Amino acid sequence: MKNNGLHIIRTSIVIAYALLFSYAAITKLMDYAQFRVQLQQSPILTTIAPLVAIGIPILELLFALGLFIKPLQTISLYGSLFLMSCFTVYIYQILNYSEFIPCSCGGILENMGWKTHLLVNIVFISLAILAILIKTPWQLQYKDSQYT
Amino acid sequence: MKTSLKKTLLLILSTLGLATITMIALFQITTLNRHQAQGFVRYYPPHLFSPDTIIDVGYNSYYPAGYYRDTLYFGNTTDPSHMLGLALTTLDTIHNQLTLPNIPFSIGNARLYVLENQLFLTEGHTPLILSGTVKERTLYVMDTLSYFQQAKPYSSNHLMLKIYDGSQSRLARKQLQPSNIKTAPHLLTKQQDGLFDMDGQLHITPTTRQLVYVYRYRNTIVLSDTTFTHTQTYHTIDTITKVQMELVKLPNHQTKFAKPPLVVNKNSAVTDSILFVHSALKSNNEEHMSLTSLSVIDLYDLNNGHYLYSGYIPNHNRQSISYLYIVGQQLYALFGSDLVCYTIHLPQQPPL
Repeated sequence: MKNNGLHIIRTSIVIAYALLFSYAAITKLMDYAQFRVQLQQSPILTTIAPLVAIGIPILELLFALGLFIKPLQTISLYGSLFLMSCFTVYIYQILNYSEFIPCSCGGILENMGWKTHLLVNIVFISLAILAILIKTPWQLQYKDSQYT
Repeated sequence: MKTSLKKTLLLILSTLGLATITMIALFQITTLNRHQAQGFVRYYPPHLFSPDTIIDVGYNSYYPAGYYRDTLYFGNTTDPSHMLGLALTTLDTIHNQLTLPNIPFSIGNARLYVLENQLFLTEGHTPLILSGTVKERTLYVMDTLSYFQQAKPYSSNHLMLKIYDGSQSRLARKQLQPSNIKTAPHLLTKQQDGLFDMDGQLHITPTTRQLVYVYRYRNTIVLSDTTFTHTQTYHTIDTITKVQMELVKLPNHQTKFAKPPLVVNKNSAVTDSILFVHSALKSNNEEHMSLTSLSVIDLYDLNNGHYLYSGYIPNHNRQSISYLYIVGQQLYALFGSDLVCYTIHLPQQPPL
């Protein structure tokens, strides 16, 4: 089992993402009104805040769920990568182009500074890329079992 | 295997690219919306107003009259001969008795103003303009000729008046000695009856002596110097350019609102450079919110009329703001008999 080590890494990343996204989505939905107000006060999202307010937690939950369904795992990883990249670009925009920096990003990791947050996001992006690059072992196994 | 790796890498890069493009597009859309002022969206920098101290002034009949030498003065709507001084550094209150001439006037309509070391008591129905000094606190009759709805003194010898000439409200410059009045014919514009629809608040900026008129029922702000030579019209961020009110003439010749009119600007205050407006309207990004438990204060740059920022001031003791007054970096809001002092923190970054 040459792929076993890589498999464990990928599974760990998948679990980490699923936990992160479900936690993020649930905290947002638990205090939805607060989250919505915070988004509306963001200098970047103001106009589309209502859409984003409901869209983000739904996407997070969908991807978290998809990560545990094996045929959907890779596509969910791409989805997670997309979402995480969006968050990262958002933080970059806030830090560099915004007229003012909002109080917090709402719900999750509230006490984390914006710069730390940027770093954590970049780590998560790298992890998602790593997980995607590790070949999907069950597909190989499936193919192996087919061809043997 | 090689093509598959290439494909995966390409997919990853596309995902990253798509995310970046999405966010840049969002940022562009919002920025565009803001600067074209198409939509009506407010911007809330964090902690624009942070509350400092609460002072109980005792009665809800006080209103801010002016600021002079570290003291904020208050007039009283039920007792025009009473003046309250609040020393802003020590927060000590001083109750002053004013000596008024023995002339009957409408007490509820009298308004006290403190301008530098001068005191003015104005009452437009009798009419009556009294003046004196903060030090002596004895007021003398200066004028009994000009009727007015509002008066704002801006020098020891001049006041800006808002008068009603029978067809509409107008602004006029009143000189006390020798008595003279000059009306600005076109500064204010009539949209309906010329009285109710033109209601608003008249301000004179503290040192630049700029006239600022904020309409109550439309999104218009009129700026002018006190000689009416350089005038400007600006708009608040909402979209109410036309007054929305329905008036009925009663058989006894009284005019009344057929239904409550749409209030745009509830209250306002000025510094030399910034106009503070307590708006009654919700923006697109406040649709779900109720403005009954808080007040939205919008800030405008008086040099160019541009909208700057907004901040919330929550109700105090379930009361909304009755008066606003700005001294330097401090905003004073009266909620009935409680005066709450806020420090204004303008964002560091200049607007885009």
